[in-house]
Amino acid sequence: MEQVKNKFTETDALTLHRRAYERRLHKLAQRNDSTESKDARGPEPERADPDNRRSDNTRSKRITPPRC
Amino acid sequence: MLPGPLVASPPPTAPLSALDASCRDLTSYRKRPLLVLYYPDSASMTEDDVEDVYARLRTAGPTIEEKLPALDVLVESNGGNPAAGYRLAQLIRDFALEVSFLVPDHAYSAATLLCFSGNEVRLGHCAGLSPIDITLVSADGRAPQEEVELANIDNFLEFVKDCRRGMEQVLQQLGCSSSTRVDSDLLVEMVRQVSALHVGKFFRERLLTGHYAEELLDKYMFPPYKDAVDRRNKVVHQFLFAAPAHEFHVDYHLCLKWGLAVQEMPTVESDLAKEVVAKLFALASDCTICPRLSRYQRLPFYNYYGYLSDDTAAAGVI
Repeated sequence: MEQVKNKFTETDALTLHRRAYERRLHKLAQRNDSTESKDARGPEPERADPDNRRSDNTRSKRITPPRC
Repeated sequence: MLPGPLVASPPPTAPLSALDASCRDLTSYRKRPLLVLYYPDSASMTEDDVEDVYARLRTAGPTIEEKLPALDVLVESNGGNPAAGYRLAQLIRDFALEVSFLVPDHAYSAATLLCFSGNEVRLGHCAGLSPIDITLVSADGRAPQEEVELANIDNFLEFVKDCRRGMEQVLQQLGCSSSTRVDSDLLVEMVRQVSALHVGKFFRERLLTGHYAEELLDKYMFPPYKDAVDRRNKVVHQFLFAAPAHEFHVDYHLCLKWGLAVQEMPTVESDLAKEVVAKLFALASDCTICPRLSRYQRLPFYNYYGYLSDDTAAAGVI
């Protein structure tokens, strides 16, 4: 049985690839939904910052994912 | 009645048959199973890949308890998230006792980090790895003009030092007693352009990438070596700091010089491995594999090919 499992037909490879694609699309959609629902709630209230001295850099820039 | 075709059309073939044949040729030559990790140009290595590769390996049969005795992993990638490279490395090592990474053309950045988990890296002719320092990009990865390489910051810091030295020399020659502020002005400008948060994040991420590299080299690549610690330090230093730019092709000769456990493939093996990549490229080009996930990203392709020895195949056992 173990040996049978090791046989890979092309259909298997493409089927698994398609499943991975669907899974990934689902994940992306979930992430987009969660971003949209955050956006719908509006911006988070400003913390106490009486002098309002924070620069635009720290306020508006998103921390981006590293790439290597 | 519609006229029939004058020339008989060729029988339909399965879409992956050519790729399948090339992979079988490679497994027959190497006499071990093969895991293919193919990332076309717009597919970046992400942590989402871990679940998919795990699913692929589990479907193939091996488990963490019953590891494969040996496995080849063919990698073609421009890199991605270093955490993804590290997690994929540990995942693959959970399923195989001995791993050789086959790089027919290039395994850059995060893919280089992944290769550090091999017992050896086998490079095809003209193939190479890259530095593992980091680059920050916009969150959707779409704007190359927004990329900032850590190598650029390193070089800018060197430039600042040179400027200060040069200015001080000139002031001394002119007999001026005043000092220069050129270095602080330049640093302020750099932080203004890159942002203080990003500069901090760069250096933190580099430490993290270095830590991942150390872990993989210590655990998998260098245990057989008597000078394991020296080798590891050298490799981490060279791949993190020694390259003049992030886009730097580290070929077989440099890999060897930098201390990696690396082999140059013999011609037959190199040709077979490059043929696999050529087939993958053709399939990705006509969108048979690697469909688009978004405007900027495509799905990578993974597949596992078991190895059947001639004896087993002749006995009719699959």
